[in-house]
Amino acid sequence: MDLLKVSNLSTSFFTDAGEVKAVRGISFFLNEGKSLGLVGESGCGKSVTALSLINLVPYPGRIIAGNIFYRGKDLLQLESKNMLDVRGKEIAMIFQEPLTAFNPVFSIGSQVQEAILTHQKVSKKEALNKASKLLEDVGISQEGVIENYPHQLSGGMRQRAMIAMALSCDPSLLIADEPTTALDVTIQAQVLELISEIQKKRNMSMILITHDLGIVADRVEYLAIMYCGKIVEYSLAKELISKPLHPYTSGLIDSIPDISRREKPLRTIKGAVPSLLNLPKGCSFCDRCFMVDSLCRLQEPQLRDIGAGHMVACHRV
Amino acid sequence: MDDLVRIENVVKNFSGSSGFFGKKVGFVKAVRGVSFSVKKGEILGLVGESGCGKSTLARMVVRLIEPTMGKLFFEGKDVFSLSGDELKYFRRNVQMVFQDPYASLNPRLSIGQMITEPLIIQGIAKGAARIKQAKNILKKVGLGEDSFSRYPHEFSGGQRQRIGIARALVLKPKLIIADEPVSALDVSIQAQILNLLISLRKEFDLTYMFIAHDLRVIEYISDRVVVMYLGKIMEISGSKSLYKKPFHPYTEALLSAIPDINYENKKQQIILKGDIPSPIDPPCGCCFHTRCIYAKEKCRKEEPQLVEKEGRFFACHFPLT
Ligand SMILES: Nc1ncnc2c1ncn2[C@@H]1O[C@H](COP(=O)(O)OP(=O)(O)OP(=O)(O)O)[C@@H](O)[C@H]1O
Ligand SMILES: Nc1ncnc2c1ncn2[C@@H]1O[C@H](COP(=O)(O)OP(=O)(O)OP(=O)(O)O)[C@@H](O)[C@H]1O
Ligand SMILES: [Mg+2]
Ligand SMILES: [Mg+2]
Repeated sequence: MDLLKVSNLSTSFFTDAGEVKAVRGISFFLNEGKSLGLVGESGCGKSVTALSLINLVPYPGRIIAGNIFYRGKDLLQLESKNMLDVRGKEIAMIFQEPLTAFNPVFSIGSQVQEAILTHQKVSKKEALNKASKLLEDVGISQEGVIENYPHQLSGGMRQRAMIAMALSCDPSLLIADEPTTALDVTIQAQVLELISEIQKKRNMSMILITHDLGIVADRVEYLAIMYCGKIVEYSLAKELISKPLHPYTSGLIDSIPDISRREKPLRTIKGAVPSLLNLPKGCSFCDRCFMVDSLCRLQEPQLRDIGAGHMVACHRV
Repeated sequence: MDDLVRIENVVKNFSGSSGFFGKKVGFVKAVRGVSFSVKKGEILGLVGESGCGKSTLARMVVRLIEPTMGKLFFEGKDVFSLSGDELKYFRRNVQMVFQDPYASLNPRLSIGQMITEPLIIQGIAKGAARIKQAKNILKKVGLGEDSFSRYPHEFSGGQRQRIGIARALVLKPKLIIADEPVSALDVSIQAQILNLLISLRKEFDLTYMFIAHDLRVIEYISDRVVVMYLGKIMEISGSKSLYKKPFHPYTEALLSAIPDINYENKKQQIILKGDIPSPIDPPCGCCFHTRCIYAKEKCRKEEPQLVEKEGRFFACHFPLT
């Protein structure tokens, strides 16, 4: 069964300069125990999508259309108290900058303990034992570290503590928004390995958000590529990397300097991402696309299945 | 090939960084005895994890901060004993491009003012000739003439980075130090900037010292690579041979951590354990031994020196040769 089914989700920010259409009608689903990578360049709407899923879009933003079904329940129709339950118990989120997610005046251990106490009926002592077990699971087992304050930990340790915190309620769905972007490559590899391991061991579903296609390609089963608030391609990860169909996806893949393909110069996508306040009329990628024709400038392409669940939104494929 | 820059036993300590409640926590040993040279016409890549001293080294080369010990030479002259015309010559020929295209441009200056400013300071060209020279450079980095009278906030990250490059180029320098010039940019824009830097090198006969923590970028752009860890050099090698066969275990681990979208040639990943040790109190012996999967007793006790083999340099008791 679908764990999560999102249909036609649209979220906008109503700013003084106009309506910023951050998410423009996206649909996807995720089965129990599966993982999805959500990839796209800065500003394409990845974080806003994640925040919409847990109904935490900040002012002046609002979800303006769509449904989010979680185990058959429409999350957007839930009362805020029930939403709070889902958010804490069922869906957990890891943020990009872990320092802001912790309270600076409490120790790491006591914050994980507190998180357990809010959602589970256990004694304080049990909660503390659970907390130290969780921190041990993420590789924080050194004497004394559990009593450390967030600022006393390195970036990698903080991110691991954040993961422990997210796992404290035994979620069925983990949303990780750029969990390693602020970290060094070696620490990044460590943390990603840890997240994948835990996801498999607990049979959790996961949405892994990143702008770096390279770091998710072999860690998720499915990939969705976002551009200007829309999903432009969706498929099994392997298939998407080896046979990209959307010109934006192939452009993204070719822009990554590749160790094994030392070829000069790097192929690039010309131009830059258009402003969300002022999108081109047809396909939002048309001004940067090398395959563009007149239809692309007139009509926005819809995401369609071209076989075996490989979906693409492009007039030219 | 001639050395354009020579760095000799450079050490940089930052003092006085006090901990909580004013407790002295000791020196940050940012750069701990580093020697290498940048050859004329090459692109030298400098890599290593956050805090290993890359920016500190760069800031010494451009004379923004002074080394605690050691010497730096530009075209054979000691950078910190320059004065008068020689200093002016140095300032003109050594330029820096910074990481953050959002923070490094003055928001109150138009692009035109920003690009002509160095020309005015150096007293190069006047009036219409000066403006023409500035507009020329803007064109070279792919910005239209109309950008001349516009302000930084009107540009995207990639465009701002081009402005930063134009400003560095306008004086026709010999050396450009680029400190993570593409780290803050999206991959598609990053590729545009890397291609631009490479094409400009040929046209302006430039030498680059290029800093990045992304090995994919370093591999792509550099002729030679210097690998740093905790303020020390671990390995220096030609880019191709380094990527084909690293000698130092740290280089091997860094390479193995590179995200790779090719499923076929994926190697077994080496995942480094633990965190980077504090630069205030680096481990004794080989400073990498606390995270090295090959570490032996000797590594904990004795510090390896940089030695040469097959024209490459490495500091390891048990290299992977
Ligand atoms: N509070 C806000 N007010 C107005 N616009 C906003 C706000 N938050 C986000 N946006 C806009 O919504 C769009 C999508 O933003 P989002 O944060 O989802 O991007 P992202 O894909 O996560 O990018 P990044 O990789 O940089 O994190 C952007 O154009 C952004 O400017
Ligand atoms: N002005 C300063 N005062 C005190 N410590 C400093 C100062 N500048 C740098 N440091 C310290 O020196 C060390 C090296 O810093 P540096 O900025 O050179 O690292 P880096 O290799 O450029 O790292 P990054 O990849 O994060 O830019 C770090 O531990 C840093 O905290
Ligand atoms: Mg984001
Ligand atoms: Mg730096």
